[in-house]
Amino acid sequence: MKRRDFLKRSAQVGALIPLASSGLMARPLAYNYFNRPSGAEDRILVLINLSGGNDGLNTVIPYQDSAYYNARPALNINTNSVLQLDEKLGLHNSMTGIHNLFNEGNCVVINNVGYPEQNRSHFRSTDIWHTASDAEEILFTGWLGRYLQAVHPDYPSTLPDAPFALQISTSTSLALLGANGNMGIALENPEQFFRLANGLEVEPTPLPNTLAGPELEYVRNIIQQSDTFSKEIDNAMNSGANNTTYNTDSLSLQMQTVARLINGGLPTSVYIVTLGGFDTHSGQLGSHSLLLNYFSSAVTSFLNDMNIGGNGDRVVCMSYSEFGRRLNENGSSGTDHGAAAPQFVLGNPVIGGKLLGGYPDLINLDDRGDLVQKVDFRRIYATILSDWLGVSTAETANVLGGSFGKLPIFTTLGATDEQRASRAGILLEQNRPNPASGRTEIAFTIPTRSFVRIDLVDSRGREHGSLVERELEPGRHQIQVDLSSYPPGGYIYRLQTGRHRVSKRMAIVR
Amino acid sequence: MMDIPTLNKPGHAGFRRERTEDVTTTPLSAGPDADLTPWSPTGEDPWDAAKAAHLLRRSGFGLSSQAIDSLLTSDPATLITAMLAPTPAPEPPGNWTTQQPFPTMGNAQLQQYAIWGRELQEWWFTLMEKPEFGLREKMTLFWHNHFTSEFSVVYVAQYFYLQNKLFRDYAFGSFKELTSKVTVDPCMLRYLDLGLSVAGNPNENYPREILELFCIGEGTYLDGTPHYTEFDIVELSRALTGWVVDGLQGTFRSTRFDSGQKTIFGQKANFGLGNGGDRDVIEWIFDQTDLDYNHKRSAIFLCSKLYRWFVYDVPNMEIVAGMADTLVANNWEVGPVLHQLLTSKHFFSEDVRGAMIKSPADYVAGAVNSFGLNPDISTTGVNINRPDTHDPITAMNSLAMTLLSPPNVKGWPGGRTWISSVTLPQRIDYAAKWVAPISGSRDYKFDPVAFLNTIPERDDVHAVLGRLLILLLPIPVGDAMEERLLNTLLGGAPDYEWDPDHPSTTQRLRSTLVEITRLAEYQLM
Repeated sequence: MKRRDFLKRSAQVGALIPLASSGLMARPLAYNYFNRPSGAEDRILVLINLSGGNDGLNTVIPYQDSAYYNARPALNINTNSVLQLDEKLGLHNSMTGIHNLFNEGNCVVINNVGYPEQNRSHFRSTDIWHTASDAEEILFTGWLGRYLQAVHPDYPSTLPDAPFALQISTSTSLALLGANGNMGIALENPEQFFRLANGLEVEPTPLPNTLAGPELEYVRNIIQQSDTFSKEIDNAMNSGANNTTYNTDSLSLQMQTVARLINGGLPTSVYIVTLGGFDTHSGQLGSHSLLLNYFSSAVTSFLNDMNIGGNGDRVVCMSYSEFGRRLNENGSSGTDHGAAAPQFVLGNPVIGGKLLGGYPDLINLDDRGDLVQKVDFRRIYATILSDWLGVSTAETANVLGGSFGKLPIFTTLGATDEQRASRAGILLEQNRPNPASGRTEIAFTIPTRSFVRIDLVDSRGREHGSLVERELEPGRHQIQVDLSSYPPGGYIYRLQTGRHRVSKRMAIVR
Repeated sequence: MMDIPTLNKPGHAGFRRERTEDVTTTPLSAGPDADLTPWSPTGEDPWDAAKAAHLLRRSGFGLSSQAIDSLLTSDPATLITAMLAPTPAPEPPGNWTTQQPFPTMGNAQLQQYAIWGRELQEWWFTLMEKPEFGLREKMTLFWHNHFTSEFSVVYVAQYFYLQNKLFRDYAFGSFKELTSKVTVDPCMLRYLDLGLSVAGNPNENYPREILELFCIGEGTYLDGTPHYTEFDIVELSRALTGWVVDGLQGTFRSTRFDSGQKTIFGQKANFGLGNGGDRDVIEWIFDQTDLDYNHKRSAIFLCSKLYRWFVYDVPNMEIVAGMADTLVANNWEVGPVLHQLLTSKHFFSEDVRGAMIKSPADYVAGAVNSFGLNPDISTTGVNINRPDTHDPITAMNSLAMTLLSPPNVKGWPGGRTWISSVTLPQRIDYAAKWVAPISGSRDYKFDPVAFLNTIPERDDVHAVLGRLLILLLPIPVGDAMEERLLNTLLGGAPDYEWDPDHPSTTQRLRSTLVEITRLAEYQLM
């Protein structure tokens, strides 16, 4: 018997065991593997909201530009004190942590970020950032809400065990609102959350056919979610720990909690933390320096914590603020609402140590005397969705309501896991027949003798067991699988070998 | 562009959900009951306990069982007229309210202000839970949430007291007059920096917010015209220069005023406020027309917020337009608008009952009223990590409503944002501890015997349960749940064995109340 035949037969035998009835291993996952290439499932995005409109010009300082010093006689940061990023720009001297990250290649600074027709209202502009709308366009859902909705189309008819997104706050931001409801939850203190929420139940009283109906349903959803999530979050808090020390400011405490949850294995993919106080209309110099220091040290402690905990390659942080501030200082030792400003993307996965978006142009300002945007903020979103969270180009455009050119922030640079695997000589073929009702055949190729596993996952993210789990010779292999005992629907089969993972979709019909 | 849901309410064609009070894109909604004419009882639709409870929940902070009975002897119009009658101004919370602010601001001064600020919170809460001041205090809170100020920006407790007094004085008064007064009130001059604004270097902070959040609202009319432009803000900033904080008041200094011509909303004049300029800029803001409703823009703007405060989170624009008529016809006085709204068919329609989510003020002060609690309001014994030790003010803070400290200049967004996976479990736990304290928890002095005595027909267990449900829940819970609650109240015994004076009745009553407060319906009003 040829090896391949033998394998075919043994795989067949293994696969013919009706996996669906053998316990189903119906461990609901927080993730649905649809719409994302394999490898992106466990990636995490941490958004840091610098709320109030951060003064970008005193954060990333054009320390060689006389226009800056002329416009800010009282508020300028001395040339000699800045932490140089290159020959023209330097960080505020209270940001040593981020400066180190930049030098170590773990920080990208994107200058001149904003959007056309800058709105200078805090609320409206924050909404624009959260919904990824145009300046004149009013959207009722957030960019992350739409993204998470696309990845979890069954929500809320199927509730996950862990929240898709978590905001350390008393309330969630508009960014997390999806068409079917809120895609994230907010909490401040995980231990207290567990104590109070664990065991809450929804009572099946009638839902009135009045305006009270939807409100009652909303409250019930939160009751149910609170109970479910409290258990998962408690698990993560119990198994996770912090590996570094943090300051005691609010942002540090928030990021410390996030780190502990990540280290504890919480399968949540989006976190939002907030540092307020950036609306520095008066007496800016001292308070802004303090805020930037909070920001810098919180991020630094957090990323160190991630690295020590072995999560450094899974996590990316991104800052945002509703607008920058005016070049000219005002008469109250402060600055008024402006337009474009620099933002930061941080973490091991970024190709760091570089500045994108060009230098701020302090001469050609807009009609209000503000910096003109050169990088639409949605380009950063598009980059994060595509190159970090693994969303396809088409779907990224769908989430953001248009195509926005990506920025060279990540080492993956758009290469999917499938492309990387293919370069390594690993190929997973489409099953035949597909859709399948009974048996189907899955073929794949591996370049070297290696351990191979193929898992089956349904559209709700539930694992249905392994089809193959063994060491195999190099070459092309085929396995036969009997699907007759699985419920019809969409599935993913996912091949994992070495550090590579590839997956394809299949459908089961009757 | 991807398909963005319009969030239509089921069964309400054209009822588009507005995320903010910006109403300009909302079509006039012809809801089934968009009727502002006074409701009056009929045979099929009598003045009953459920309606009385609805009126009390919405017009004030919760209700007691006795209040329901006393309301039933009157009628809505008489009741609202009484609620709107002038009341004596309360005694200030302390002598400190008239003290000049500290000349410097160090740690010791901040500490002192924080202590006084807390006194002010306690004082205000005590007014809120007094049923006779319900509507007045609800409007005082409305103005605080409209013309916001944050303690952590201003600090000076005296300014907050003075502003709070201003809001109470104008609880039912003229929106326009209040706007003029609050613009130059020391708390506001400090909070939004207008006190720093000077000719040649005007500060845009307050001028932007008076248009965006206080009087006009951000957005564009249906024909694409913006409500206001950035240029209007620049020019308005010049018109509002000249005001400074002087001791405990706002004062005009002509040397700081920009007396040049300003073009605001297309009109050129030497706009100013008070002694500044020769044309009152607040008058001019209130004169602006809403192009969509052909009405005063500020009237539409304020009335949609009042609607959201008293009726439902999504303004019914037909009702709002009717309210705006009343507001303008009464020289911007809010009292007549409240009278009209709170006696209207729309307000009493079944459709809006229970459709609001309780704010923390409704939740905490409401429980004090409903259960007849008498909590120790001091911070003594409070352990922040043990919610059962929280006093009412700390409880409100934990539920995300710190009086004198809204989250930002836009105020508390309200509605569903009050309910999150953090605040909801906390709410449920508080209510349980208030009616059934555990060892070491703060005693809210719930007296089950006295409570039961407030219920007429206390000898009939069905009547008792019926009253509990009317008192605590705005909508019916269905027969199965009523059966279950009855079972808890009776401890499994048949109903003819009910004895209100039995020693174990109090324990069963507590359990029933805990069960009721765990229902999602208890979060509604």
